[in-house]
Amino acid sequence: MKIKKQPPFKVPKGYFDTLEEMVLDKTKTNYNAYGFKTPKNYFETLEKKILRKTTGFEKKSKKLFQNAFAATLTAAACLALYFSINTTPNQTIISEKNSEQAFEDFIENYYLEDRDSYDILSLLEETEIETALTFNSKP
Amino acid sequence: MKHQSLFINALKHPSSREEAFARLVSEYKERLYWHIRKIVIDHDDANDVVQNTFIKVHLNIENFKENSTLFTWMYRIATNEALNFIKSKASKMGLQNQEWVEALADGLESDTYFDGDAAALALQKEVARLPEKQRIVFNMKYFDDMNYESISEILDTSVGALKASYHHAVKKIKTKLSDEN
Repeated sequence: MKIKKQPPFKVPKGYFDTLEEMVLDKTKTNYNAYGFKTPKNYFETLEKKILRKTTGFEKKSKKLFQNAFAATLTAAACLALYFSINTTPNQTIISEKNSEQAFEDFIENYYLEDRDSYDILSLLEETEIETALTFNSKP
Repeated sequence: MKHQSLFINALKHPSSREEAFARLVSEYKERLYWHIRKIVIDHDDANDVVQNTFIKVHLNIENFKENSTLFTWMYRIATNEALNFIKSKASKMGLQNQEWVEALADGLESDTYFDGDAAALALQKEVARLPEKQRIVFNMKYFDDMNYESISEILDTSVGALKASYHHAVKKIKTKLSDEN
């Protein structure tokens, strides 16, 4: 007797193409509090906006912090120079390597303080906000 | 856990960061948006805060120490961002945070992006009248059906305190809504 290796059961045409979608639909948690809506296709555009902004914002914000840090560093260097003249004339004030490390520490500490990002935004010039972080009121 | 560590490594490594971050945004954008939306109520505000949350995640991922899951870390950032946003908006308007949130909930009837029925509207108005922490706990438990352990990690509050908060919130809302009917 010849035994068919293929199972005798059948599924509707294209069943497995839609199965994943059906399962995901049913298991998807509705995170929306009912009543709230979003504009049409909002989540499709949101992803693109975020990805576009993360690249631009990183460079801009780093530049902003770097400027603030440079000002602080200049003031610190002036003080250090003043004291070094009076104490140890041959001592290097701040090496380039140290300043880079200090900048990284500054950035890390800045975030550890968990500053309000909206306060950070208020430090930016209007033009910088427009080019670096366009917060559209409408998606 | 191992899978998460690999993913976090990909997020931290400059060569793989862009692709990993795109996956992260794709995976979490809706969840974080709805979490934020329930706190700030207005769509445009939620739109600002969710984008700012992801920017903050992107900027801080290198400092993420993996003491918690990525999920709870991101929720914590989103919650803080949403609360900071309310604080900032309310203070600009010369209002208390609670007053600002209540005013937003009272305006839901005319909100283009709200189409709930009378019951949904009444519920949102009562939720807005809860103290800040109770309101967040209620949203996470009632609407998102999150377990107390996850909420505890996100809000850095004990499970016992969360249960008490939720219990009080439900009791207040039930009383108010039954008084109205």
